[in-house]
Amino acid sequence: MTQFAFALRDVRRRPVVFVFFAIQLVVVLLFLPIVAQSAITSSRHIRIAESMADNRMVFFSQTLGTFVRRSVTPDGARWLSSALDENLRAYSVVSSIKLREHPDLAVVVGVGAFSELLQLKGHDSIPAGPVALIGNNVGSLRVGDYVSFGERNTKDILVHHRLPRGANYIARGTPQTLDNSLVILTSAESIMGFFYVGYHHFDEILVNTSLIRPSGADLLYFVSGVREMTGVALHPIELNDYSQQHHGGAFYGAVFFLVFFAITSAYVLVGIVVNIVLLLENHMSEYAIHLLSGARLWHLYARVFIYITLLVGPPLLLASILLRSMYQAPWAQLFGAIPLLGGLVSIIAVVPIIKLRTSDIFLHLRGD
Amino acid sequence: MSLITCLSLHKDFRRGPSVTHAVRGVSLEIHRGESVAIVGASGCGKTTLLNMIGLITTPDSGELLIAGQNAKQLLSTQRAAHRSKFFGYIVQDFALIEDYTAIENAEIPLIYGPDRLGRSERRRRVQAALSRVGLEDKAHQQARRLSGGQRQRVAIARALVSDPQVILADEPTGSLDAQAGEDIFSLLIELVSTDKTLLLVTHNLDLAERCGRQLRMRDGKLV
Repeated sequence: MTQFAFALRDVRRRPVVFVFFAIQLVVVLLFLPIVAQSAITSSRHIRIAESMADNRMVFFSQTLGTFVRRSVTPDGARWLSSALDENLRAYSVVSSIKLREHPDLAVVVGVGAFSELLQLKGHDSIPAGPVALIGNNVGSLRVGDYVSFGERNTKDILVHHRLPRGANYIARGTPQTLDNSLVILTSAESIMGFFYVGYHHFDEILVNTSLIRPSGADLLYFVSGVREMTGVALHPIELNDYSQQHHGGAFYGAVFFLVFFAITSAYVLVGIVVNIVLLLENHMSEYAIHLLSGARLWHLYARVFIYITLLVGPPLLLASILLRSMYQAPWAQLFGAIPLLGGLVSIIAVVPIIKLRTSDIFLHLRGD
Repeated sequence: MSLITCLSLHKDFRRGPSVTHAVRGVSLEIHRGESVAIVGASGCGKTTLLNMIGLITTPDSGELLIAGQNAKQLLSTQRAAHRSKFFGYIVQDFALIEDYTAIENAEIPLIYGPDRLGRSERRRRVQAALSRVGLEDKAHQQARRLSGGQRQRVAIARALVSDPQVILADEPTGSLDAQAGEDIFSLLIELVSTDKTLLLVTHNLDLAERCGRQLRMRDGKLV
């Protein structure tokens, strides 16, 4: 407790330096995981897109969603259904539906050739009717359970099996994980039966449609059909090109910033160590007075440790809270910051402790 | 039985290839209640001898007995306890922490002392020690705002606060003018004369003569 008071006094002696380092640490601790996460995500997206490269998928302008506002009429919905279910190799998803019994569970309704895209082993053996699959992390449902689906007409759908870890799909050029989702495979046409009039799910289906290995005729059929039925002009984008440009660019950008922040982190760490070594230099005569008055070396180590913890702890806590809220992680994950804090403090404390051990501190008692 | 016994103490300092033989085979006995002055030229080893006796520096060879206990056999905890409770140290440059108040400076030995006193008891004892050196009205003044004489009084209060048996004073008046030096030394003699042992290192022969015994050092040896 006494050493805590002394360490607090050390902080109060140089508040500007202390705040300066704290801000630097927050920036580093906040941005390093963000860019690392971004690099990992981009790399994963590239990998997923590459694994699906043979499908030569085509999706449509990302800004499409902002133009489609209740554009799909009943006739349009019927046309879109037949295009997805029968006339084209294509799929789409609806991700805005919630189940009454599992309101917190993310639901992805896949229509058309969605199961083919998932590369499920023996996807041909999946029953034709609506069938449910659960993501690897879903704990609220088990294989063999039934989920109640639909508003106008409700149907209990069997949970057929659990998806492997890392299962995903691509919507509008971006891979999405299914690990925490319930997937319902059905036909586009059946959506009309499950839900009330308004067909707003078909707006989403239109926006999320991807064509698999389309020929020029397929593309023309779909683009002109949508134009005729909804008045929306589609701009086709090849997933393979898009992935190379967009995800590749994002990946290299993230790696660049990762390297930048890693170097910055190293500088900040070195800066903190230098700052603490300077603190020791300035306090050597004080430490000598404490030793002369009965303190032991471990009292000084404790004081240095507490000082470093005060320096590193609040920025780490702040960065953890911000990251937690950004990634919506559970509060329990904040405990993960504790070993990180211990590790950081230990790394920073190595040089000062060695300096204290190897110095003849009593020499600093005499001015001459 | 003597309170402190030195038997053929040696201490060398090495810097690169050169070796300084600071203390060479010093033997002496200091008895309870004695006041002993060690005099000699700069660099003759008197401060090193004082630091060895005060458990600040470890001898290279020889025996040092503190109240009958061999210093080599003391654990680091016991050495630290001796520094806070058995010895009181006064050095030439006062060794005060500049931004601490007089009371905070004088309190330090009690913080580390084996008695584990509470804060209020510590403060009571420090106030009493500051009163003895005539600084009760400067208790909450930062050390940097005190005059040289006042700073040395704080250092004396710190040396006395845990009621040690031995006061080790290394040039206690060396940084003071003649009048302040005289005042401080008179105060020191007065405070330790009753029941304490004083070991004084000084250049000043006049001060040394006011101690009960004078020892002279030259080239690391008692002469």
